[in-house]
Amino acid sequence: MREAGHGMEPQQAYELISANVQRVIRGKPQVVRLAIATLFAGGHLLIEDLPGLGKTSLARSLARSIGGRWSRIQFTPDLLPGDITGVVVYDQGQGKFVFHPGGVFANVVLADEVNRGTPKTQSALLEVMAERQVTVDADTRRVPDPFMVLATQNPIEMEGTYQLPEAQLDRFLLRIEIGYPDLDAEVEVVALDGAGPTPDDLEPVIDPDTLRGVIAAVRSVYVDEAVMAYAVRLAAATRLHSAVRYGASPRGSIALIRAARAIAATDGRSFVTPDDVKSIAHPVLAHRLVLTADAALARRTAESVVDDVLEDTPAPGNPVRRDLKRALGVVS
Amino acid sequence: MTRRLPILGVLAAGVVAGLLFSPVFGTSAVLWPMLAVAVVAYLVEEAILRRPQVARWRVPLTLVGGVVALLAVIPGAARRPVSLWEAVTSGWRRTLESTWPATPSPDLVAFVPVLVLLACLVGARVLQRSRLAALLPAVVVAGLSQAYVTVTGLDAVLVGLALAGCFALVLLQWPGERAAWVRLVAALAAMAVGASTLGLALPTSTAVHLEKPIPPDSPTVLSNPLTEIAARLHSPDTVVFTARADGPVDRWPVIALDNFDGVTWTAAPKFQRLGRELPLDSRVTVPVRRQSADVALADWSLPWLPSQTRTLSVVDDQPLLVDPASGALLAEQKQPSQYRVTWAEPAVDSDQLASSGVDSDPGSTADLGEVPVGIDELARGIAGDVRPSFQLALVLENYLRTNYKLATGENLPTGHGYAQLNHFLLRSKRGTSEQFAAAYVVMARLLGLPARLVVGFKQPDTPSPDGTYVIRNRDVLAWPEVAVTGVGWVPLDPTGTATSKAGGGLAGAAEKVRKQLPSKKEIEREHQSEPTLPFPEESQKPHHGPDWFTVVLAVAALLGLGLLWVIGVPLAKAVRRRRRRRHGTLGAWAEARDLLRDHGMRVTPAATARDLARDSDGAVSQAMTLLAGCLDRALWSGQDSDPDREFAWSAVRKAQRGLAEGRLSERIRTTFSVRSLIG
Repeated sequence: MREAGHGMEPQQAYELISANVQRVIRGKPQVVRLAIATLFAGGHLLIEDLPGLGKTSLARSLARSIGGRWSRIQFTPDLLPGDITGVVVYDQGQGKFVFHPGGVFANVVLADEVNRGTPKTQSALLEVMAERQVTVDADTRRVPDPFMVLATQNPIEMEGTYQLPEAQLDRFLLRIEIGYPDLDAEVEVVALDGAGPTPDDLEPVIDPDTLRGVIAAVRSVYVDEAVMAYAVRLAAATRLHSAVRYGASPRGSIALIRAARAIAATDGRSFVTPDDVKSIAHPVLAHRLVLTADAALARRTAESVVDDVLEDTPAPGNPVRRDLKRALGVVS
Repeated sequence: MTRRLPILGVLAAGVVAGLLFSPVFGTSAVLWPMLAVAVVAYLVEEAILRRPQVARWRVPLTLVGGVVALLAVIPGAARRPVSLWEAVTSGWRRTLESTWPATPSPDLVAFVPVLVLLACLVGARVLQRSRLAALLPAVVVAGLSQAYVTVTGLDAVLVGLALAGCFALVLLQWPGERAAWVRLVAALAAMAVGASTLGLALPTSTAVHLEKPIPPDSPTVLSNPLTEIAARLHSPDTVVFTARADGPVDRWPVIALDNFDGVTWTAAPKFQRLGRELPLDSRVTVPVRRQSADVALADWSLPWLPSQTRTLSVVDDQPLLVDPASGALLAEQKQPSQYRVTWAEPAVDSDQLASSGVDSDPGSTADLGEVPVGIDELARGIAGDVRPSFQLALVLENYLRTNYKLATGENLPTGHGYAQLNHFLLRSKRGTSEQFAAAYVVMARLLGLPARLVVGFKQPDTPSPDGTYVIRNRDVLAWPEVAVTGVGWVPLDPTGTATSKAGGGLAGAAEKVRKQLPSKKEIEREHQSEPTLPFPEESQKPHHGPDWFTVVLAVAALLGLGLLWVIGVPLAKAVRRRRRRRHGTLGAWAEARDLLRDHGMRVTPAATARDLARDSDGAVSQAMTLLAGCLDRALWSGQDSDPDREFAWSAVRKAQRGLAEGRLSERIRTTFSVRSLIG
């Protein structure tokens, strides 16, 4: 195991994990970067795309790259909440009730095909994703730290699936799509079929303690007030867009800054720029928007709404001439 | 205020467009009613801004308020409210049938403020949906006004600028991005310059008038005043009208007869409704003085009214029609009993008149029918080698005066066809003014002199004790008039008995020229020694084409503006760049944005330096990436210092060099582009 030590710089940790994951996921460095940024930001990741594009492989590769405990929960219609959170059963041998922890008691939880679980089961993830704790029979138990849920879902097969509720979606820091690989990468994937490494072949490259340090370092990345205000303006603009019924919540604004910090850290910077915010606006905001019926009928997408918002919201430092003159001291 | 500015712009555009009707009615006649309806429209919009539920009452409130305002503001409208409706339904046509400036009566002028009211109403109503569409009603009003009279010259420049200003008020907050701003400002500037250039290049006036249709059975068509001359002379003491003028008057023309088919002399007046005041005929270039007279009709049977050739205005209770070319007056409905006529009397001295040529284009026809050979030979014999001139007109007049006798008493000859004229000229040599005038005009036209026959009355030599002249049947007269360059129609007196002894006016000046007239041989010698007749002075020529001085002035102004552009724009950018250098990386960023904007790149307020780097190519992209790094460190790293300022400015220079690698035309466009200066 090429495990990194304590006090590792976020950029160095990113490069280690990224190289490890890209042994399996080829031709998608930006997707891998976003996934690792989610990890560094202490958030949860929803990977949504068509079958066969490597959703599960990405999640498994990322989970395998981190030392500590990881678990996989295959969501099916008959999965019960207790299977996720754990159950309390009577142990005749000990003569008392004993808690059997569920799948969420791990550093990295891979929730595969999360939309195949029933809403009741899906909602079992709500508490643990937001508060990193599980309450069973009035007893609250914390999950390991660091903790990350990596969920995958297939957007086209609707039969036998249950769309994730908005409250659940809001808890994912990022929703990413993998997309088809380019020609060269796909040729390489085909050539390595059966010969290349699988997620199970990957060794952890970072231990939980180091990861906690990296996460703490990411949280200390400097964000200028103007950049924070920019992120808030972006989130607020989604609420005013004519095609949007419900826009991004303040949690969306927070998520923008957290993800931007992680992006800046992976880039080796100790401060966030407006470009960082712009670069993660789509994966952070799009899944938090509920479009109006008219917009949906007109085949508007949440991504296009985010495009509009980015286009219409002045970036800090250069928005309008008067502001610029004020910044230059030409006008008061 | 930001919500009110576009409303004010729409209303102001409507008023400015309505002001284009000023040449038709006069400025004050249309300004106050239009301001009144605009104020009403604004008050309604203000009420809607304060209480949005009023919006459903916008149309009735505006219309009712506007009508009430018009009744209050237009003089006389309150006494006859139905005149507003007449103005809308037929005022536009009646205005076209009138001379301009038209009388500002409610049934004529009100259609203009009503148009403006509708433009304001429609504009304000669609303002919330489309600012551009809100301006269309004003444009339509402006277009309608141009169907009446085209505004040209400096007026067009002012109107273009005023409309551009109004449009700017409406469109001020329309585009959110700078590129659209540039397009907007460019469009407004182009509109102002275009309107100005067009206005300066167009001829000075292209007013459109409609002729007032006269019924075919009208007395004006059926009457021939020439035939009444002999009859009137048989009852000479009958008073036909009285006149009291504030200056010497020689004659009172009634109707000018232009057309002759060999048998009958007929008039072809083009009557229009008489407006407030007629403009002076542009062919009259000599100084004129205004004269007025009070006329009271007594036993008047003719359809036309006594007037003067250069009538300016008539004050009367009855609506009158006028033929601007001849000054003939006609009552539209009922003949007035008395009226006050004002006219322009040319103040020309005898020397000027003697040396004048004849007007080759007086606006009258030269119909003569089949001229008998004897009359033609007689005319040419009288003229000899004298060329067409005012002197020739007097030679011809003198011939008739000397060789023919005015018939008086009983058995007066009648008729004015060629048979009668042949008899008069070649056999009897005795006739009334009817034959004298008709024969003169025929021979004058044969000799190339523009002449017409006028029927009217001469003014007696002595007035009554109160200064009023009593005109009777015995004063009836037919006389010829010749068109003289710069003066217009000059009355002549071939009978030798008509000219007033009081003198004065054109008739008096003509009489002086007549007395000083050289002999025919001297005139012939004088004309032979001169290669051509004296041309009228350049300033006396009627001006119909573009005002070239103004055009040259405008072109010079445009060239000056261009020069100012060529020098000023690069200079302003250099000054701006110098000032920005003091602001380090941030100044470099502002400079880089403006460089790219001038180069035609879309630089939105949302674009960061890295966005612009992605949108650029080659060296420019690299420079912008370098600048983005400097900017990030300067702005977002939390440092107070600006360590990369030199790198940032070197990146700007690199971007500038990258942009300069393009085509020469692009470089020139970038150098002189004002996008970054006005955006």
